[in-house]
Amino acid sequence: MVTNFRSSLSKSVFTSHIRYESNFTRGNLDPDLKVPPVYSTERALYVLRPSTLLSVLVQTDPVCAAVLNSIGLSFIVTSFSCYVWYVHLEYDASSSTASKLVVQLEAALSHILNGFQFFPAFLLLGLLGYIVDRWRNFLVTCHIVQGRVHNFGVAVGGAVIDSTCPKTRSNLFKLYRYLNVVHAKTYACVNPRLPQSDSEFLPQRLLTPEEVRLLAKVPNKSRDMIITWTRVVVERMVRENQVRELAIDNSLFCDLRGWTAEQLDLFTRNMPNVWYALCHVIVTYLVLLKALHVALQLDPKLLVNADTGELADDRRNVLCMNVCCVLIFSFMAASTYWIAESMVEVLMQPFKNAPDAYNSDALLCSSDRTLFSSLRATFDLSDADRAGRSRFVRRRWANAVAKVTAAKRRE
Amino acid sequence: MTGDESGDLALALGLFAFLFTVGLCIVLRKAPHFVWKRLKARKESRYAVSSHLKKTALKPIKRKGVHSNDGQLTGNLLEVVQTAGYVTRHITHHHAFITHHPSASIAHRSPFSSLVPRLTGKAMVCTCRTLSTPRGLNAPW
Repeated sequence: MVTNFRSSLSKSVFTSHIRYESNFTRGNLDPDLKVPPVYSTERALYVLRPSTLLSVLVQTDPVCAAVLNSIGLSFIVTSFSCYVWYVHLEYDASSSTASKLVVQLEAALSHILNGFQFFPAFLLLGLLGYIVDRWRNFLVTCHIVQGRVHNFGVAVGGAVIDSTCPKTRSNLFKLYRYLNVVHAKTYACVNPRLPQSDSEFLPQRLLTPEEVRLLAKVPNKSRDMIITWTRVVVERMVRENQVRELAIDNSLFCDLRGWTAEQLDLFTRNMPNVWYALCHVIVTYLVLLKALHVALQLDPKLLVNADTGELADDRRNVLCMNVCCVLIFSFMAASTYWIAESMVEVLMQPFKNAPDAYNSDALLCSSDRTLFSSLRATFDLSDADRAGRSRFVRRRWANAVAKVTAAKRRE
Repeated sequence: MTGDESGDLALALGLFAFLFTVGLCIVLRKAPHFVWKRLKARKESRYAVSSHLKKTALKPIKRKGVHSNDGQLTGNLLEVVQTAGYVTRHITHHHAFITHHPSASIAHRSPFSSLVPRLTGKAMVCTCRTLSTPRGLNAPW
């Protein structure tokens, strides 16, 4: 499931088809009409099955890096625990002093950890809370932008006066193209499979060569320019009596511009870099202290025979057990904090190709389909109404005739 | 230093060197050359065309720089692994270890005392060689 979703992220349905004006201006009952293609899901909602959740973690690069770092650290710390074991073997007086020093160091570390571990934990918790909130803000903004685009389609599509007019249909196609380009440009910086320049919209016929030439003068403000063009097209349609004047609110355009800008501003409105750096340093300190504490925790009494006071015969068994325990517990201590910290890196980029990524291509395709249907909603609608009305009249007439015939028979 | 003591010291040193090497390799993401070669070979077999091209292009570089170290490094690592296995087997199956006889010294009765320093030395050599591996041979993590 996770692999399927990730493979869907590497394709673009939005750029896979060409928008022909001849197709857009066809009637809804035309058998040759081609609607925009179906698309994959926006986000993968995984089943809460341990294997699926584990594969979500395994396929997330920062988490894998954190796990590898934890394994590496646990091996290094375990190698030091071998020395601790040797130091505790009291052959003579000097090694006894070293053993006492290790015991005192362990006690001091334990004391430090008791007072110190709350601060990094709360710092990490606060940072994770902030980053999850930011991640959700991205999703909310995405849906608001999509909602504004859909509102635009509904407002203009519903205000069409004469849908049979070829000029009206042509202008509606122009609006359809512009809105798709505005939407695609909003996500171009986070989705490399979308057109990255104005000229890349030419193969899909979303822009004409003349429009590309005009947009070339304002490379980083082209989205705002296209939103203004939509306003110009609507104004022209109002003047030519193609749409009703008061049906289209001016705030539609301003809202669309505002929310598309908000989407890009969210990248800038990130946390202070110092906060993350501080959190990273302090969490690493805590992890190192905890791992070192685990390595020093061997009790020297285990290596001495209680009856004779000499070194225990099974001291090498103690070493084996100690190595295993230190390896496991130091890995757990390190991975708990480092995996949690790696979540910051994962959630910092909500659109990056990962199991929890947000598929902006699906969002664009959904809006493409909605615009296609809402802007063309009035095509053939009057014919359908007329046909429905005549069928209704015919049925009423047939019912009346049947009633009269039945009454005559009774007489 | 008694036999018991030297045996314990050798065991501690050998385990330290082995675990430290493995840990350092994982943290620095530098795989020993023979592991990297296998990973690369598996990847290339999937894309046969590019594999052929790559092999043709990289052959002179391999011959020049890396290939000379290749056998030595692999030999060191293999010896480390084999010696570690032998030492473990020897410790766990030795009658002195099993019966806990106080007078029985593993170091005196076996080649253990010479094996563990060799293991330590080889592990350290392996660490140095892994760290000095050319950039092109870094693991793809």
